[in-house]
Amino acid sequence: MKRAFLGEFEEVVLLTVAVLDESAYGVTVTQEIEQKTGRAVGFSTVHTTLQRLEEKGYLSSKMSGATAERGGRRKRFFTVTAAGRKALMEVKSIREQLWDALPPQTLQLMGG
Amino acid sequence: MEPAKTPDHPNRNIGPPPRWATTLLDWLGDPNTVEEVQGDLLELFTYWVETVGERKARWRYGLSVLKLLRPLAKRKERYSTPFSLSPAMLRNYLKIAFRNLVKSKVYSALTLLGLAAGMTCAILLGLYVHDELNYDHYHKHAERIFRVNQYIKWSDNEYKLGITSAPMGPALQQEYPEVNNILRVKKSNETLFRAGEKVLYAKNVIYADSTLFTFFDYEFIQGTPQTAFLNRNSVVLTQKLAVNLFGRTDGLLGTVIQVKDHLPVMVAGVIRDVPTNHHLKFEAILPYANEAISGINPGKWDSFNSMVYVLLNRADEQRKLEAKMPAFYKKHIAQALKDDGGNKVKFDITFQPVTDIHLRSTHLMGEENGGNMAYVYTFSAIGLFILLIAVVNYINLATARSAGRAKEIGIRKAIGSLRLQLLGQFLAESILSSFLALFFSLLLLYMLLPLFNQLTDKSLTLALWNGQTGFQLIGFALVIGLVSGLYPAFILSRFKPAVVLKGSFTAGGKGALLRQSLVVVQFTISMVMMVGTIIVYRQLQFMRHTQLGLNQEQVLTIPLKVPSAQKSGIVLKSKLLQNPMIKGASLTNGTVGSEMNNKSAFTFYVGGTEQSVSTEHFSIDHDFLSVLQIKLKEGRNFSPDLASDSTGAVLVNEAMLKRLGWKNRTAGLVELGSRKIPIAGVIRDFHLHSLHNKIEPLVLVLHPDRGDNLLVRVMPRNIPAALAYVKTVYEEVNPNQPFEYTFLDQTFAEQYRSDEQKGGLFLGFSGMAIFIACLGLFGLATFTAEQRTKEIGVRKVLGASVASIVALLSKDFLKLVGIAILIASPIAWYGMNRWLQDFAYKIDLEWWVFALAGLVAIGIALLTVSFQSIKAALMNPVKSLRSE
Repeated sequence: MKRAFLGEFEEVVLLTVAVLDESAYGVTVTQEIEQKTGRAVGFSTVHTTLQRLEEKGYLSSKMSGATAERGGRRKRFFTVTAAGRKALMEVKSIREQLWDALPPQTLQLMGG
Repeated sequence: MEPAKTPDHPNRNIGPPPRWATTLLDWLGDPNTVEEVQGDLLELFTYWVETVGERKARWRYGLSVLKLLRPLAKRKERYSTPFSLSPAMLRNYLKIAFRNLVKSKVYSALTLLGLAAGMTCAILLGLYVHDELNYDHYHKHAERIFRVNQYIKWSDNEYKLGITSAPMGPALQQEYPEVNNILRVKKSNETLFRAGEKVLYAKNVIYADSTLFTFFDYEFIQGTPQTAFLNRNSVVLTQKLAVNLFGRTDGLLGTVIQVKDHLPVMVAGVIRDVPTNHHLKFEAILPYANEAISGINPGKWDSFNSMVYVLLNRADEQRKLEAKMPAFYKKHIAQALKDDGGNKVKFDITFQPVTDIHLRSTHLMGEENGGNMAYVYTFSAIGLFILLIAVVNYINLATARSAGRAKEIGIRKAIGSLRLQLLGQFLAESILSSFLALFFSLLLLYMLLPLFNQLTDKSLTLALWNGQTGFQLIGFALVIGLVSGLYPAFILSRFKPAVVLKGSFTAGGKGALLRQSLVVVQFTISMVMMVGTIIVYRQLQFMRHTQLGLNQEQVLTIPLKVPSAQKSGIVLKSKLLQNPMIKGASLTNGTVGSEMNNKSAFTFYVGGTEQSVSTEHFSIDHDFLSVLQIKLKEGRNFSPDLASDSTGAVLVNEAMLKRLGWKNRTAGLVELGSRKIPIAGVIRDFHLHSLHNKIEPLVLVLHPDRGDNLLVRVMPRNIPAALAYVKTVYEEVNPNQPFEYTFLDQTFAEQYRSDEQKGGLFLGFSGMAIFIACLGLFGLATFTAEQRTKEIGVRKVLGASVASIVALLSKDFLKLVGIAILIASPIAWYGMNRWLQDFAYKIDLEWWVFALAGLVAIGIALLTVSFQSIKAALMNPVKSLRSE
């Protein structure tokens, strides 16, 4: 199988799911991203990304937790799978490698 | 995961989200996720209302729903399934398809040949039927043009006519606002044209009102439709006649030529030859309104000689107008027919759409030889059936040989091919075959079309580069490919890989019943067509050889079309008779063998009763009976010694006595020119027209010195010399007039031309049907022989004779052909019985025709099968059993 490829937004969504731990579903993920990144994200974008990540095997889901304010409908809770964790780690390590390889003076110029 | 039923928002402070969006999501959301999406959105809506306000929240809600609708939020292809239409797979499909074609050359050739032949027949017949159906459709006003038809019935007389009287037209236009315009046309034949030194007869000429060019679209080479008929002495020539007269078509406007007996007319236009799919056929148009030329009395209501067309304002006013016709009859026509109350005669006037004239006029007098809807149906059916036979070949051979591909299918399935993909693959293969077949059939068509045109008197072309035809052909090939491939693809893709790959699989036995039924269908169709062909040919034979009651051999008909020639007819006759090569000559104004003669009502009297009979009548001289060798039944012929005969005697035929119900003529009288005169003699019935028509009552009167036809009986010994002599004498008596003649037997034969065409088509296409069916049978026989190689080997080892093995292999097929014969016979009997109803004089349908056709079918099938079965039976068993 090809090397895992995560788009930037996919990575954000996947990380958010991991952050939210047990309580990650469409609404919380959308709100969390909005609050953490400060950018307005469409629910539809988040929803399709969650679907896609599940298709790729990085997320698994189960239905539960119907509440009245949802009109009695259940939520789809997402959790990160082993493959998802691995993919996140990989992305992280690639980033770190790149950061490590960055010459110190460049880092200074960037104001770091 | 049922979608919830109440989208209403539970929080009362906040209004519900847009209802339209919620409903839309219900309908079009992905059913797998719709529940949580609905819930999430509802939750978010509350959140949005709190954070950004209700207006924005509603907007966001709607936008999210729209983005999540399935057509927009379509999932990408699953990563795990391979793309079945990738170039690599397509290449593989094509490669396998070609390998299969090449691997079994015999079968591929058989199916392709069959398909190509079937397609060729179907395309030919399709062109033919299309042409027949499209007569007169190309005129701009076609759907608003109608022809006036008449149905007349009184006492025993009944007429259905496509013609009517001249004053009908103007009267219709004046009295009914529905009628926008009218056109009168009178057909005429053999008209003399004279341009300088050049003199010739034009075969068909019409007299027409100037509105002709408004009604029908002709293509002008010279002149315009508007100016063509402004002058009462104009003539419009067709290209053909212009070239025959002048050798060119340009610069003729204003040229004065002479028609008939030196009547000057001016060329006012030249048009292209009339398209073959126009119901009027002519070489020149002369002015209807000019009485001196047309000879039509415009006020005579009881002289039916012209076709009257009306252009209605709206096409649907036809029925409305017909309803007004009974009143019209009483007002105008009743008086002319001496039907004072308007009730004695049943007189229906109907309006026939111009597009129906070609195909739906067979019931009209004098138009029986046009197109015929029944033939359109028959030929469509034949085309479809031949195609069916070819498609059946494909299906039969493909399913029979399915075993050969079982392994391939097993492996494809084991690797992960879906059934749908296999279906697609096999359909693609059959479509490929059908396109290959189309290619071959186009080659065939280019060779066959000229022949076919000659046979049918049409000028059909296959305009391949005309977009529409191209697309139709491609569509045709696609449909044939799909139809022929669907069943085999279904069967092939059904194989279970485990069974197939284990090796214990023997296909071919499956679907045997279907294959057998299909063979029966093929042979039923072939057999029906074969019987049809035999019967058509026997009927033609019968018509050619039936005693007509007159001797039509060695009789010349010389038309005397212009008055000066008619006047000198008697001189011509006496001069001809001086030569011993001329056996006899007779002057008459009747036509024998072709068109109808004038019909009038005669009143007959016997005792105190009177009876009116409408009959054909014409004048003859004293020699008419002897020249045509017509026999007298009772009484006497006209006598040159009795001068009173020319006004005081008539001859009638036997059919007349029968119609009148008289035992003999003696007490009877007939009214002629307001005198009651006796009937001098009764002649034996003879056929005045073709055998399509019954022998009708006939009245002959005497005019020994007048006539527009001269019948000449020549000695059989040296006909060319006699002809040369007749020509010299004719030119001596009628200088400056072209000498034209026909042989009477040819005139009669001409009446069967359209029947012979049909016979030819029948023969050709039934040959094709049988040929294609045999291809299929041959393929199947080859296949069975191959399958049973081992069985035959064992039988031979055990002592079976060659004959018994051939019998074994042929028996199965012959059984099928036998069943086909049983099914086909009643169908053929019914069909051909219907066809024969068109003829007043016809052959009986005899049982031996069916037996003969059956024997031929069996013979052909046996020949086809035995080639393979004998080959199989002669094979050395060592060879077939060695591998075991």
